[in-house]
Amino acid sequence: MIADFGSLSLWLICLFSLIQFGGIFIFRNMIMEISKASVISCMILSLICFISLSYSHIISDFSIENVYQNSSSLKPLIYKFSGSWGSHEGSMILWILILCLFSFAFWLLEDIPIKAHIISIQGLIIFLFAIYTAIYSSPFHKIIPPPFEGLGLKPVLQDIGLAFHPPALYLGYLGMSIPFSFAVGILLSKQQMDGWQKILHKWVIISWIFLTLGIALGSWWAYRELGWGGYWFWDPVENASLMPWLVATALIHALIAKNYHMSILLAIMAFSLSMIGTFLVRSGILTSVHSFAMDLERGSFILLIIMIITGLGIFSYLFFPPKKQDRKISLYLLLNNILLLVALFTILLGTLYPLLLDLATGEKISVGAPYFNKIMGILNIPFIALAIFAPFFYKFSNKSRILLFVFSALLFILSAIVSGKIIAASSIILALILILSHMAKSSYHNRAMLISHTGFALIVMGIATSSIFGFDREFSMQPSESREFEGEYRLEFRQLKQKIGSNYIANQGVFALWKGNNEIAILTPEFRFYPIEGDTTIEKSIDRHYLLSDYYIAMGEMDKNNYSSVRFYYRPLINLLWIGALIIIIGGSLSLKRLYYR
Amino acid sequence: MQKKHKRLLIILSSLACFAIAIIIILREFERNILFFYSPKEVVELEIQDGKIFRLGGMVKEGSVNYDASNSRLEFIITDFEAELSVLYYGIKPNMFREKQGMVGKGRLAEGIFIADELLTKHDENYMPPEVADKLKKVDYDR
Repeated sequence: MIADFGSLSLWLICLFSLIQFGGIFIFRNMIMEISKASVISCMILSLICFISLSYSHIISDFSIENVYQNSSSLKPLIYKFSGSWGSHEGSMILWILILCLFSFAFWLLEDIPIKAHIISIQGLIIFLFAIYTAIYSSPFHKIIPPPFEGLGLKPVLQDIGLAFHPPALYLGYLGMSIPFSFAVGILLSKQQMDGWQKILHKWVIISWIFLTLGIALGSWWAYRELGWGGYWFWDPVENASLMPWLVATALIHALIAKNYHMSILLAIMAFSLSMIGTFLVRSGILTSVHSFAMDLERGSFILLIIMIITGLGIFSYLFFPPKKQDRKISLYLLLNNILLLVALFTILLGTLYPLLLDLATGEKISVGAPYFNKIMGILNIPFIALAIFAPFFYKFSNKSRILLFVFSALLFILSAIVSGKIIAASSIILALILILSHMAKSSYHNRAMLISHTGFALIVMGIATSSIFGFDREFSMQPSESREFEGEYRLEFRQLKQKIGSNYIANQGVFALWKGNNEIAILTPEFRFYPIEGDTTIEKSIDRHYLLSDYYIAMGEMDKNNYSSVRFYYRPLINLLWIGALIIIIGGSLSLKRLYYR
Repeated sequence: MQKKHKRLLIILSSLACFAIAIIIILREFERNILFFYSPKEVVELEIQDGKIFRLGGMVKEGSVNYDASNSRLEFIITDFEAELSVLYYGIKPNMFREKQGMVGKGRLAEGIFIADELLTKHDENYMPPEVADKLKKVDYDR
């Protein structure tokens, strides 16, 4: 019965979003009322839809196929709830909810002449995704007679970071729909509206904050759950989330630079990339940890949706171009954006080229991580340098600016030939200078900027330090054995325990880590077996030393002779990555606050 | 310097920077392209020892041998037309099991594929698309 509510509300969303889109063309004298009615209806309906699905998951209603395939009655409550968006079909319901939420929020909070037009474009976007979900991807299909137990959720997804990574990421991706609709609305309406830039800026920052959070959560999960000590693999799907983030960052800088031509273009690009990201994840074209097992028919429909929406954006920009702006454009912010676009191009090339090659010739290649690491590592240096010097450039004379420019160019060329470690080391030094120089800046400098840049510098330091000074060791050990390594370290396998969780049983190893004569950590990795899913996970144990550096152990399956593979990782200052991400988010929130109160 | 000359200098130096950047990017890109082969292709194309590539296929039933005391995993990858022995040192990946698609990165050494990395998925019914594509070309009994 609940499933029927869900299914019905999904189809009604298709209807109302269509009205939201087309209503203003048909009922030209009632556009405000139509916007209001459709936006509120879609909001309520999408809530009903989402609640129907989550409720069914929480009560373990296996008559619904989606619940059967992704849940079990033994699963902890939090993962029952988060499992409602763990599958492709379920995640589309969350997707639609968030789209309707943003439309509703925009309608509620903003009052501008082109409001109805923006809401209309949102309606088109919602309609396209809703109709796709209703036809190809509904989670409300029933199984008769209902099974007694479900298939469970892949254990590796049963993690708190991963539970909230999709919602955060979707809030980021879909938040970009507002700047997109805004940009298209501005272009098509050809209206001269004052202060639209500030409104656009607000909504971009909101999405950008969520996108940052979503990416950070995903990376944090990967580090803890699958990483083998790694947190970013330049996996095409990870790249698909990073690319809109780069464009959104460029967009923020373009808005700060008051470069409105560029802002509109970037707003259109950001959302287009968000959707291309979706397509890459769901089409089944890619091999990756993230790929949902899917067929190509669905992928084609999503591709169609992307082409329609992106097409609308490009059409608007080409045939209704923004007015010429005659003001000086900040050189350094422009330079920053050029660098961001170069980074975007780099990632785009590495991600799309294999896809296009496969489509064209059937040849299958992949691009190794070192390509991305090296180029991004090199690009990072001018980013930090700009962040350090740009706010001070007004103090430099023309001659010293030219000298600095030439010097930087030489450095840039040089960095292409030196080793990764040197690039990493220089990044650390530059990041430190950035942090110190920001702390010394006077209060008239934008505090939000100082904070966000500091967060960025911390991330760079975390990445560079852990990669230069971190190391891995692998051992085969039995309980009561010890291993010595790196001169002063000793790892002692004290004992093996059995542990029972709500839906798993585990072997837990108790390890003591010694440095010299001091026992510095106790680590308890587990090897878990989930009976319903018939699957295992390797749960790492991490000791956060002084809250910043990690000692980390993963223990594999034990064989008949009681030997386990044990992998030890040392990652100094790795937590700066997550701390840095949080600080960036704080900076963004501060910026949002300033935009609201000015 | 005259304004006209200054502008020319800026444009030329920007173009130079762009050109250098593109060259660096494309060079690194080319260096890091990894090919993907099925066992049959490895045999047909006579892949050299030592060249790093990705190997994909299905893990042959009954071929898995895991020695935890040495962290040594041995198995056979097949595409039902050719087979290749694979050797991997490390913790046996979570999702690794027989009769399932698997992709490994490594190189050949005397007829055995030494894998540095094994690709794991978070969907136990998953068959990596490249593998599925190659297997499609062979008519086999699942």
